[in-house]
Amino acid sequence: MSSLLRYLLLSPGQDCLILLAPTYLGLSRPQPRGDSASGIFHRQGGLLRSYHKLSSDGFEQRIKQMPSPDLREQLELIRSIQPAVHVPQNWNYENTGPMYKAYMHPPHDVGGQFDVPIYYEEKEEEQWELDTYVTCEVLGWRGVWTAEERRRRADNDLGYTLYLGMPYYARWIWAAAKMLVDKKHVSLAELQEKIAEVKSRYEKK
Amino acid sequence: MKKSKSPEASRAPFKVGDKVRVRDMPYMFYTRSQLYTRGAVGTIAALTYKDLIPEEEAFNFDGHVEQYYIVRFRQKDLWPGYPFDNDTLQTECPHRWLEPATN
Repeated sequence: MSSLLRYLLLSPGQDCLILLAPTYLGLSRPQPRGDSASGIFHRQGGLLRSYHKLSSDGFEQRIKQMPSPDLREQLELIRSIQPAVHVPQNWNYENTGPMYKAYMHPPHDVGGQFDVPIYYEEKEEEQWELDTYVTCEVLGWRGVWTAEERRRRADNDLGYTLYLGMPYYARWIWAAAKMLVDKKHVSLAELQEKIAEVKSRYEKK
Repeated sequence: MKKSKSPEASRAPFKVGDKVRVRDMPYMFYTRSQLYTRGAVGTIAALTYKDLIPEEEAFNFDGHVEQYYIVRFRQKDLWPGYPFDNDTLQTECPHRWLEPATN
């Protein structure tokens, strides 16, 4: 779903959602609202079904109208990493204690969470990973950040999608770049120009 | 680095063998204290070193240095369904995250 479409769908709140629902969500009447934690999940369950309906009816047709296949593909990828219950989560005024605590939970505190068995891989560091390690350590020695700040930025601050979506040292280098921009050592514009320049140099080879 | 304004933890230091409980402080912005240890009772296994606390070092505050401890838990105290009586788990906590426990 494009950000414009989401903005149109959701920005003025529940009334607008209901108003637009017949058009975009295929709903014939508003979903029931609940107050308890379980109520919220029921409500989410209800809207989740609607969201799937949106995906199969409106979204697929709309996205096919996008002019460029590349843009279409990119939007599909963005959609695929969004939480399935994104729609009812927007500006949720009904956060209960446990729900609030769950939202505050940092991505890196994973102990005790359920998971499926995963393949254990013996993998050597790649050159860019070693370079990243050294870069981040040198930034520490020069007093630009502390080790704990690196952990906070690379393990905690980037959110679940990036935490789970990037390899270990990609999180480090992402956090280093973000830190350098945050602390005004480089501007984002400067960084973008440099990355674009290096990228074009590599592509010419 | 900015100087910390937070007070030194006023409670007496722990010694090896003391029973301690991990405090359940609010989850805000950053933590090194695992969810599964919070509220659990363990035993001080060792005193390691004094260092900045994570909540301050992670945001570049300086000056507030605390004793760190290795805390040993029975696995059965962390995971009620754990099958083996003698297994333990050790983790590291700074002083402010621990309070005395009678059992």
